[in-house]
Amino acid sequence: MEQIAALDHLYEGCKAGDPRAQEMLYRALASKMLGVCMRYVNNTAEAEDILQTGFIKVFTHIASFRGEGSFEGWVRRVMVNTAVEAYRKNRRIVPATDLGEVTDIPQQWEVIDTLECEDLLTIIRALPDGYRMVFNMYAIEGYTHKEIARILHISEGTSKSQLSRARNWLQEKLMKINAYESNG
Amino acid sequence: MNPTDKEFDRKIRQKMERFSPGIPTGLWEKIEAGLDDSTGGEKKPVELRAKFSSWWGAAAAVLLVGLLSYWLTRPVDVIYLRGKTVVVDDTAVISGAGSYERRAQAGTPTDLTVCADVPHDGEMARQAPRGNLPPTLNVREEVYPAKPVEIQDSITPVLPMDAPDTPVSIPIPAAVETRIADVPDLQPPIVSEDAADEMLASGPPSNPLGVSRLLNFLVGTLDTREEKAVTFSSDNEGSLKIEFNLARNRKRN
Repeated sequence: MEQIAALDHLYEGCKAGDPRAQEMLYRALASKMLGVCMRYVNNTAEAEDILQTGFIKVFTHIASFRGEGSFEGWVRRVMVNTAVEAYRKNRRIVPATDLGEVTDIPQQWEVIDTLECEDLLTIIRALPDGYRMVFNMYAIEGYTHKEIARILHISEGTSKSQLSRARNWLQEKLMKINAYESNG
Repeated sequence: MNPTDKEFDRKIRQKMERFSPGIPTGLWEKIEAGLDDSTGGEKKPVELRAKFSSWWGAAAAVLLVGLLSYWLTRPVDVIYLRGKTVVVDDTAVISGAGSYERRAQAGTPTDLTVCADVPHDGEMARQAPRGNLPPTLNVREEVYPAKPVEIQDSITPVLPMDAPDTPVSIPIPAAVETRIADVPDLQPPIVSEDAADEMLASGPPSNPLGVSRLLNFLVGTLDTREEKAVTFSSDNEGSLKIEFNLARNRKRN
């Protein structure tokens, strides 16, 4: 609660164009938002560029925040939208990879708890771009398939199939890791 | 989506929400620079352009007002008839050698005698006017008491003056008398008192162009906001009134 109150206070300062409030907001949210950006791209330098562009958007368009939901959630959405724009620019350059047919994977997800965040991030970033975008937006950010289809300019069916394939691919990777740790 | 997928998503979401990597150094400075560029490169020039256009508009309006004021109030060449003028007619009675006198009609209390200094010899003949133009003369007007003489012409305006007791004659060369008679009469611009009163009462004619309307239209094209910086109006006497909206400028600053 204290953090939310502090963010609301910083929001007022940022809305007034106070540079100190802007820097304090950056210090408060930069680390978490960089983690968001790193899930959407497969290299850290590109994630930092997205974070930089996203914060500039936050400060220059802060008046468009209408108070619907939390301010941190709004900043997070700005970061995701910036990552999506970067994905759209590079989509034609990187061809989509077919992950093959969806198969049933044994339901053993305890391996996720044992993994470090950085390791799990490495697995997620290894997904092909399109699958990674859909998985991040649906499974972690909470977008619906309809919203994803509108934002990424794809059909809802494509969003659903890519999510299913991404999940299957991730589960397969996690099973291999689990088997390696169990044997080792 | 089956419950297994939901559980899978939830576990990954919980794991990744705790992920907070270290912030690279110098990133805030880049963001600050980006903010300066975005505000300094887009917004400020717009404000400067607005200010410049506003100032240019006001300056153009003031310049236009100045030019129009000068044009409308510029000096006009008007010859006003004064009380004492050189009036020479053909019927003046010459008395004595080289002098002439003119006496008003009997009963009028005025005696007006004019003495003109003109070149002698044949110089006057060379300067004789062609057509109706008068020759160059140095005319000095003096009032002398004159003895009553009969005068035949009564069109010359007469000034009310005290009647002299004794007439005085001024010697004038004989050649001059002829030339003076050739000088055309100066006609007064106002011929009657009624006409003069009517002209004074009517005031200047209304300007068909509508200067105040023209200026307001010009300012309106330059300053599209509702409250104009300068407004113009004219009254019944034709005076141009300028109103500056200083309160609006203070509010904007």
